[in-house]
Amino acid sequence: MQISDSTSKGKKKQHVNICIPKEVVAEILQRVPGQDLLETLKKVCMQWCSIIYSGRFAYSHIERGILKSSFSQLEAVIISMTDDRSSFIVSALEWHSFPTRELGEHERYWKAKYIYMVNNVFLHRISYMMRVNSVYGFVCFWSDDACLHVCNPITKEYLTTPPYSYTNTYMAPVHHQLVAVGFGFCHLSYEYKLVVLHEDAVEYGETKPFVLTCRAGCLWRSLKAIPDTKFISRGQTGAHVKGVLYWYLESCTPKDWPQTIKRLVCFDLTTEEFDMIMVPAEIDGGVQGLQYVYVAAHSAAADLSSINSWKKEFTVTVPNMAYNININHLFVLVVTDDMLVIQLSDGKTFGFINVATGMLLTGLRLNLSTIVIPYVPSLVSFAHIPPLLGANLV
Amino acid sequence: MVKLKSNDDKEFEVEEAAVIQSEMIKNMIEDGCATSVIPLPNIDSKTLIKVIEYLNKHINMGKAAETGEEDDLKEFDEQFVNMGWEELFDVIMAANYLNIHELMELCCQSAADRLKNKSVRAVREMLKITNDLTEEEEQEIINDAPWAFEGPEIDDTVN
Repeated sequence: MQISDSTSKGKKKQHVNICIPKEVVAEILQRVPGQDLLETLKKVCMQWCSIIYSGRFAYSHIERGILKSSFSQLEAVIISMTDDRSSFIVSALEWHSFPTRELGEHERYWKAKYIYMVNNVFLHRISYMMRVNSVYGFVCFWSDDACLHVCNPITKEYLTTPPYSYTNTYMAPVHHQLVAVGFGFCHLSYEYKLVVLHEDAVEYGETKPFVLTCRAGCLWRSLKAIPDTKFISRGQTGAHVKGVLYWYLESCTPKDWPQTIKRLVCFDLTTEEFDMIMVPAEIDGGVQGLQYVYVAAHSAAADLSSINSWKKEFTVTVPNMAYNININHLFVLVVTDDMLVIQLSDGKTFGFINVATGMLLTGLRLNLSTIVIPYVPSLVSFAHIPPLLGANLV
Repeated sequence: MVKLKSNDDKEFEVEEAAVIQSEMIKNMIEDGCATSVIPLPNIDSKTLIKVIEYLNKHINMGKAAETGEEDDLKEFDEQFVNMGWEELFDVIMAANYLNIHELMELCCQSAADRLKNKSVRAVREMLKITNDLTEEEEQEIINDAPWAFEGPEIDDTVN
């Protein structure tokens, strides 16, 4: 390596004389946590700055995080509304791998770090927020002014959509009309999209899908309604797998009447079309639907209506759970190689479970003005394009 | 035995089992191009000695796990990366050139760890990087010039 020995202060914009190829610098920077990159290392020199801001780098940085899949790579954000219910605060819930010596006091290893506040974003004083999901480092949540919010806690980029519905009255509060909501990435047009299934209280019985492309100034577009189907489920969040959103929804068609049946509803973000799949009876584990979706992701393009394309990854047993809970009312939020995040049906208690040992690592109880969304930190912005489409990215 | 020659014309003999950890040399051997001496014009003897030391220690990685020598290897790795920045970069460059995956991983991780929680100034001084940003540019980056450098423009034709 050659080193420039010119130290004259007046001369800026001179050539950096270190002969390290750009790929090697990128290899090193890829192993540095996102916060360091964005807070300090981007300011070091032009070359580093351009590496850190490039889309290829941002995506491979997440890819590395997912491959490593350790606790320190997966984080969670806490979104909390302010007391006046017009703004929200984003903070990071960080947990660090356990030092082997002191186990026991779980809370010790948690840190909630204030990141930023978004002012006066809600249309009216909201009373309810809901987690949607996270994709490539963006986290998405819903608020009961019928708007969706997407933010990246690392880059501090955020986007708030216009409302998809204005029929929010005491008789028909908007969260009673929300069937399902999802956030995903379309690999063909390189766009992030939001999807809402909304059962309009005015035209009772008809569920309208809306989609919005995450870009400044974008409006909701209405899609063709799913024919002859009445959805019973409410407020469901989906799983995003390779450009397709999946929800496990209870619905009723004229054929089913008077029974209701749970089906896997798929939405292809490229074609913007819905599809319904009957899940094999053997694996109808009720609320564990999301968990199975994750499992089936490994066999992409498989026929999900056949039992053979499903694999039972593991059964959730919670031996060390301190709470007296009914296991049937769990929502599985995230499964990684070593961690499972669950939410209890009361909506405010979260458990983080080690997959290998089945041990509860920590429980977290939050009030209703707060939501937790697990995510992998990333430098990706809305304008970035992944280098290799869908390669190893969950 | 395989003979390697550094750019200052020194020759080193290395066991084949060790040297095939380098994808590049492995390919050369498989293609039958490694009959005599392999010249390595990008690597000086000082760096090559370091690399060979690593390769010899990491022979039969699989066996180490069985015989419980894992801790020993870990300790060796920790000691191995305990070197100055210039030396570390030389080894990274050599590992990159020879395509030795494990060594690349080890050294890059060590470099990355050294960059954590450092100030901009400290990083520049450590790596002797000249600041090539003007004050205005620096201010712009601090104000989060939104993804100005390689962010591809998404046109409106899709949708």
